[in-house]
Amino acid sequence: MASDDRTLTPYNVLPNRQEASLLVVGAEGVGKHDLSLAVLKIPVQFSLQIRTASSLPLPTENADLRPRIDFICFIMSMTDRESIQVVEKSLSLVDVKYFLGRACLVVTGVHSHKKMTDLDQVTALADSFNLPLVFGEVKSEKERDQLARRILTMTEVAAGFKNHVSPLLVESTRLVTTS
Amino acid sequence: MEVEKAVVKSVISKCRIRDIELLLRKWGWFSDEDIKKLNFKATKKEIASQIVGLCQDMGLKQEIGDLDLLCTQLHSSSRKWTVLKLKGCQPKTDLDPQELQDRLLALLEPESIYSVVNVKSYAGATWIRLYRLEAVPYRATDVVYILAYPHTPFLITCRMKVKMQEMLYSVLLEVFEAEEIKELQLTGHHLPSLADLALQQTSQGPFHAYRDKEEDENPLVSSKSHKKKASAEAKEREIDLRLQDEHQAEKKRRQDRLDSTFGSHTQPTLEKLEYKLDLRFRGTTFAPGMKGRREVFRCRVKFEGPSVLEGTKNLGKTGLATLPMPRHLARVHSLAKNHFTIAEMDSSKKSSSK
Repeated sequence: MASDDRTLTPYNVLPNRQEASLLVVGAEGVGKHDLSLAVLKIPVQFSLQIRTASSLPLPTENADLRPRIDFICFIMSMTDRESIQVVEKSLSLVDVKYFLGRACLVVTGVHSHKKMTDLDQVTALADSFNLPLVFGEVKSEKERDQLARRILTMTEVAAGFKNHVSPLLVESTRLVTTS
Repeated sequence: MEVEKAVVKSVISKCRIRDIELLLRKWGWFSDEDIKKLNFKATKKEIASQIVGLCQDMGLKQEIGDLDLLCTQLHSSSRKWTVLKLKGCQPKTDLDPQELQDRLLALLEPESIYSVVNVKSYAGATWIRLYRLEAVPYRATDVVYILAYPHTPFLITCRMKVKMQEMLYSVLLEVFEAEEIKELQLTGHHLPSLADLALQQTSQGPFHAYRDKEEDENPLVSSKSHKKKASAEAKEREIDLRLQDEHQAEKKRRQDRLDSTFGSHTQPTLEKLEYKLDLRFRGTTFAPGMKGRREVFRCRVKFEGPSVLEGTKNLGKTGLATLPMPRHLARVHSLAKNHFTIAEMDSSKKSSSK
C-alpha cells in the first residue's frame, strides 16, 4: 500500500511473465519519442513496453492499466532549462527503491554552445540521487543507438532477465568517485 | 527606353532563371521562335539585354508594364501589403479590366502623375500597376500596385509615397464610386492570407469547417489520397503499440480545445502582430512600487515570425501556454487586424479598444 498516491513505487503491482516496462520521463522536445523508438528497434526475447511522460506525477486515469515500471529513464537537455526543472521536480516524486539501480539520467546537448547549466550542476544532481549518468545525443543516429542499447541492458537487469544479476549488484559494483 | 530597360532588368533579377521562360510564355508577347532564340544559360544581365533588344524590335513599351505586373503577381511575398476598405452606399468594384484601365488613365493622365497604367485579372482579383513615366531613374519602390476584389469593398495596396497617397485615394474613390477609404490595420507579406482574413472575416477559426469546400479540393480526388495516408499511418503505429504516452488523454483534450478556438486547418500567415498599450500600469502585483502612478504607461508588444497565428496555436499544443487561450489572442483570426491599440476606457468615448 503506497503511503502517498503520487509517488511511483516499484512493488505495488505484480510483474508479468516475459514482460518488461520502461518509463521515460523528460520535458517536451528533448527526444523521448526518438529514443524510445530506437530502443524498440533492438530485437529482444521478451515483450518490452515503453511509456513516455513529460512530468510526474503520472495521470491517475491510466493507473489501472499500467504495468509494473521496471526502469525509469530521466532525460534532460543541457540547452533547455525547463527540462532540468522538470527532471528535478519529478525526481522527488519517485520512491527511494527506484534509486538502487532502477533509474538513470540521460543528458543530451553536452557539446552545444548554448548551454544553460554547468556540468557540475548535472553531476551534483546525479550524485545526490545516486543515478548513473549517461551522456549522448539523441539527434545523431549512432549515438542514439548506443544510448538505446545501454538503457536496454539496464532495463533487462532491472526486470530480472539477466541470470544472477540484480540491479543492486550492479549498483554496488558501480564506481562512484567522491569529490 | 531607359525606363523599359530598367523594368526588364528588375523583373529578370527578381525571378529565377528557370522561371523566366515560363514567365515569358505567360506574358504572351513573344512567339515560340523568339523564346527559343534566347540563350537562357547566359547571365541574367545578358538575358535582360536580349529581351530588351527583342522588345525594341517589336516596339513594346506599355506591355513591359504587363510583364512587371505578372512578375509581381508571382512574387507577391517580397512586398509589404496593406488592406483598405471602401465605404459608401455602393462601391462598384466589379469593373472590367479594360474599362478600369481606361477610367484610370482618363483620371490620371491629365494630372501627369501616373502615366503608365496596367490592369490585369489574376487569381480572382483585378491587379492595377501604376507608374510615372517621367520619373528617371527607375525605382522599383515608385511603382504602385493595387488589387481590387470584385463585388467586395476591399482593396489591397503596397507602400506608396505619402504625397501621392492623398491624390491616389481621391482617384480611387472616384473610380470605384465610394465615399471614403478606411485603412484597416491589416498588413503583411503573404497576399492570399491577407485576402482570406479580410474577405472571409466571419468564417475564420472554427467556422472554417462550414466554408464551401469546392474551391479547396476536388472531393473525388482527395478520397484516394486519404486511403494512402491511412495505410502509411497504420504502418507507423505498429511499432507504436509498444510505445505509449502517459499524457495522451490530456494532449487530446488540449488539441480539442485548440481546434475549437482556432479551427483544425492551417492558419493564415501573418508575419507581425502588434499591440499598442496606452494604459495605466497594470502589473502592480509584480512591481508594487508603481502603485501610485496615474499617468499612462506606453508599451508595445510585438509577435513576429514566419506565421504568428500558427505559432500561437503551437504554443498551446506544446503546453507552453495555459488553455483556454486569452481572448485577445484567440480571436485575432476573426478581427481582420494586425495592429491593435488598447487605450484607457473613457466614459465619453464609445469603446475602449479600436
